[in-house]
Formats: sequence, C-alpha cells, structure tokens
Amino acid sequence: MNPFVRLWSIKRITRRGRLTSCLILIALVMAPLVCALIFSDSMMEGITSKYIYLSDGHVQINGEHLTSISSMIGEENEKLMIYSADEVTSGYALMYSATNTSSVMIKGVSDSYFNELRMKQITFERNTEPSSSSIKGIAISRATARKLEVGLGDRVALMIVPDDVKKVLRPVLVRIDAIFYSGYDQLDELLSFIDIDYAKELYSDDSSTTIEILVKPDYMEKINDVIYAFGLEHDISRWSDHNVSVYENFVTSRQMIMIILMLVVVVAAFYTASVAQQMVQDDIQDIAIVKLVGSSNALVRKSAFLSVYAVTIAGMILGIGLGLLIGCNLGPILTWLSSLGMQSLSFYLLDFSINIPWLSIALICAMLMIISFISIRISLIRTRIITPMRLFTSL
Amino acid sequence: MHPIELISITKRFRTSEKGEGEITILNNINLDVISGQSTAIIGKSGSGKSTLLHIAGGLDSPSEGKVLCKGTDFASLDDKHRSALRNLHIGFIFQANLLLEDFTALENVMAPALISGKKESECKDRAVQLLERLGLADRMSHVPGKLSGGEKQRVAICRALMNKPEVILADEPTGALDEENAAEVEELLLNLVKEEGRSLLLVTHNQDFAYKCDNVYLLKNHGLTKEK
Repeated sequence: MNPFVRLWSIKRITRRGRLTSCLILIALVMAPLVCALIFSDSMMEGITSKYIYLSDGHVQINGEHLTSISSMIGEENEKLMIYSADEVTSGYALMYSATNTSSVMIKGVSDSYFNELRMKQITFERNTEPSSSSIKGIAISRATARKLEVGLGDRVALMIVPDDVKKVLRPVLVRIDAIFYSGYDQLDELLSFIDIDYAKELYSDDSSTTIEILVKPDYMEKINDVIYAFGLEHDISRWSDHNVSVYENFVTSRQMIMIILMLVVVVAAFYTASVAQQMVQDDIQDIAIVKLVGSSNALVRKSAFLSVYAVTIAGMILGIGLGLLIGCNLGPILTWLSSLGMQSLSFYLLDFSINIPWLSIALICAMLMIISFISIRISLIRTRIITPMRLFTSL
Repeated sequence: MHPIELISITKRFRTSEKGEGEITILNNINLDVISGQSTAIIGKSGSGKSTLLHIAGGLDSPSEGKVLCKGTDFASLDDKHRSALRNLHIGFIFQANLLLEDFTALENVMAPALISGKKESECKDRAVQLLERLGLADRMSHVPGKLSGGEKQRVAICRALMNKPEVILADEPTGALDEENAAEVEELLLNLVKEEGRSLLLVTHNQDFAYKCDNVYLLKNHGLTKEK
C-alpha cells in the first residue's frame, strides 16, 4: 500500500468526527442485529426442543406397528441411532376445577418416559403425601394449575372426549400428584401426564397409541435415515407434522427476521456511502492540495475508501462483539425483564441454551461488506472532479 | 531539453456560463524555464501571471498551445502520469501555504515523497534536513495551526523541494508575509534553489524580489516581454 494512502487514512480515522460517528452507528446497528439473530435462533431451537421432547418426539410411529417396532428396538438401538422409544397413549380432555376449565392433551406415559434428555427440559414439583384413595394421579403444568386455581393434592375432573361417538361422555376424577414447568407456557398449558395403563382405559382406540422416538443427539440431522431404517416411511410422522402451524410459524419467522435484518444492513451500508460522500465534501481542500503535490485521483480515492471501509469493518466487529456479549446473556436479561412484569415474555422461553447462528451472522456481515464496498466506491467517483484548481477558484 | 517549455500558449475564459463571450488572458506566449536559472514574471494584478503559472505546472490547460515538461506534453498524459510528472519534477509554492491541516510540519514536507511511493524511513532524513536548514528543527511535530505565517511558508518551501524537483513554481510566495518574514523567505528560496541547482519560475508583483532572479519577464497586454 502506498505509504501516503496509509498515513492519510490513519489521520482521517483518528480525527474525531464523522468517521467516529460512522463507527458508533455501524456498531449500534450490528449489535442489535446479532442479538436478534441469537435470540430468534436460540428461542426457536429451545421451543422446538420442548415440542420434540415433551410433546411429539423426533419421530412418531403409529401404534399398530408396536409389536414389530418393539422387536427392533433394544439391541438394535445403537444401529438405529435411537436414544429412546416410548409407548404413549394420548387423547384430549376438558379439565375442570371448582373455578375454571381448561382443554388439555392427556399423555399416558410410563415411568421410563422421563429420561435424562426429557428431564433437562422439564422440572417437577411432586406431592409427597401418600394417598389413601384409589383416585389416579395426574401431572399438570404450572400454567394449567394457575388457570384452574389448583395445587398439589387437589382434585380435578376430566371430561374425556370419546373416540367413538356412540360412547357416553363421562367425567373422571383425578388427583394432582405433580406440577411441571418446562419454561414455555404456551406448550405447558396444553399438556398433562398420567400413567399409560390408565390412559389406555380412557382412550381404548388403537389409534390413540403411538411410539415416540428420540434420536441420539449426534444423529438429529439424519432423521430421514432413521425413518428409512424402520422401513415404515408412510406411518411415520415428525413433530413438524403434528404442529404444522408452529413449525410454519418458525420457518416464516426465520425468513422474515433475515429479510428485515438484511434490509437494515442494506440501509447501514448505504449510510457508509453517504459518510464517504460527506467526508469528500469536508476534505475538498485537502484533496486538492494532495493532488497539487502530485497524487493521482486513484490514490485519493484509495485513501478515502480505506478510511471509510476500515471504519465500517471496525464498527461491524465492535457491533458483533457487543451483540454476542448481550446475546450470550439473554437468559438473565429476559428473566430480569420478566421480573419487571413484562407480560409478553410469557410467549417466550426464559431459560434456553444460547445458540449462536454463525452462518446468519456471517451472511449479514458479508452483505454489509459487499454493499458498503460497492456503494463507497461509487460515491468516491466524485473525487475525480476535485482538481488543484479548486484551491485557487475558491480562495 | 528545458524543464518546462511553454509553446504558443493562449488562454481564453468564457465571460458567462453559457459561453456566449470569451476574453483572452494570455495570447501566444512562448517561454522556456531554463535549467538551473531563476525566472520571474511580473505584471499588474489580473494580468494573467497566476494563470500562466498554473498552465506551466499542468494544473490548468491552455486553450491553445502546448506545455512540455521534460519534453512531454502535459495534454498527452492521463491523470496518473500527469500527477507523477508533477510529483517528481515540479515543486509548488503559493501565497496561501496550502498545507494539510491534520499533518505535522514533518509529514507535510514528506508528503510528496510518500505519494511517490517512498517509505517514511527513506524520506524522513531529507525532510528533517530541509526543515533544519530553514530553521524549523523545533517545529517538526507541530501542525500548521500551531505555526506562524512565516513558518508555514517555510514548510511549504521544504515540501516543494522534497522530491528534488527540477523546477520550482512559486506564485507570490511572500505575498502574505510581513516585510521581515518576506525578506527572509525570499532569501531562503533563492539560496535554496541555487544550492540545490533547481530552476525557479516566480510570479510576483514585488519588483525587488523579481529582479534578484536571473531572468525577468513582464506580462502585459496578454503577452510577455523580456525585461532582464
């Protein structure tokens, strides 16, 4: 690089003013963008995990294949990349308390259902007092308990929605043995768990029973392989098939967030071009002097470009750093906001693992760099019309 | 081959933006800036002295005629080569010192050498030497805003000499200085040009200063006449 270009660029960057504001603005734009990407990605991952681990599993197989699947599961687990396979009987019910009603999905599961992976997604508060009655126990969510205004040990009535229209609707009483909390109220308020044998009594139709399969973490990207390994592609469904609207919401949200962030980046990139233009305007006298002592227009342009581009990149890096710093501490920040009484936070997870979407961040950075590269260069074409004669015509 | 040759230079300016009328400032001027000699052009204000100097330095283009710098016609060169020619073979000094305000005195002096691609370590010695010769040893790290008018003009002289150009073009170099400073700068400029074996083309209305040069021309009625 020409030594004068380097020296002049450093002088411009270290001079407080327009370029400093540019650096700060780019950093202030990039930080929330990175933060928003981390938030949306981590939140969606977190919510997806809740649906997978507590509601539908990675893969669900129709219960009619129970016998054949059971024989495959066990010794073949390793080969099939399966972490667990649990029989689940489920159906819908209206749950009544003395004061309120709630519509819930009743999931009949065995004790082994809440394995290590699932227990990472949920916490239970259990009733330790032994019961003398024959009333069956149920685990309801904290959200449902709040809605029904009930607590551990209380009784609620379930109005089972029958799978056969000829059957008579009848209420059954259950006792609240456990209250769970997954961190995501929107899902929690739909779920409740009972013993699988009791669930089979309530929902006797075969189609109510399925096998929920969890894939080993290393094989999550290869769920299709698991499906083909069973040879039952037509009777297998995934969490996204059961929660189409949630899944499509996520896909659309991801796309919309990226589009919005990219638009913001485009505006920021064009802002750098405007800074370059203004810088040239401010430096007309200097540019004319430098040309007078023998600089070509290319050198002038190079120096101006280097100044603005270096500041843009520095602002971007600073913004990413800030965004990562805030993004990685989103959990405590959201919890603090929630403690201030922000109701809208009930739609989000407050405790989730941070997932940094490096690819999206890289995409946004690349976009900022490319657009600002082009727009700054275009805006600097104007330096050509600044000649040393400017010094004498303006004096 | 002379460092600068002006051949049949005519310069006309439009009297309005629409270009309806034109006035002639310089008419068929021929001038050779002779190597190692100083040449002064005198004339009344508005006679076209500065315009002639701008054309000689390739800053402005003539309406007719040619300017040869080391035998090369300025008009035949693109921006890159014209700039390089100006950078290496011509040094400029003006009434307004035209220094870069963010640069120190030393950096201002080094600028032409840095532009030509020399590393700072290569050109620093010469810049320091020039500044010391002009009595600015303790002002090297000062920005122009911290220098007096005379000091700024001396920095401008150092800058003009930095690349050891064959010719120095000076337009009223002492015009903005008080008598004492003006006399000092005149002496320094003429001595330096002589010591370094450069040519000088000086434009001034100060006859005393002009007649210290080897050749003196009067610019009158759009033409040049030799006075000395």
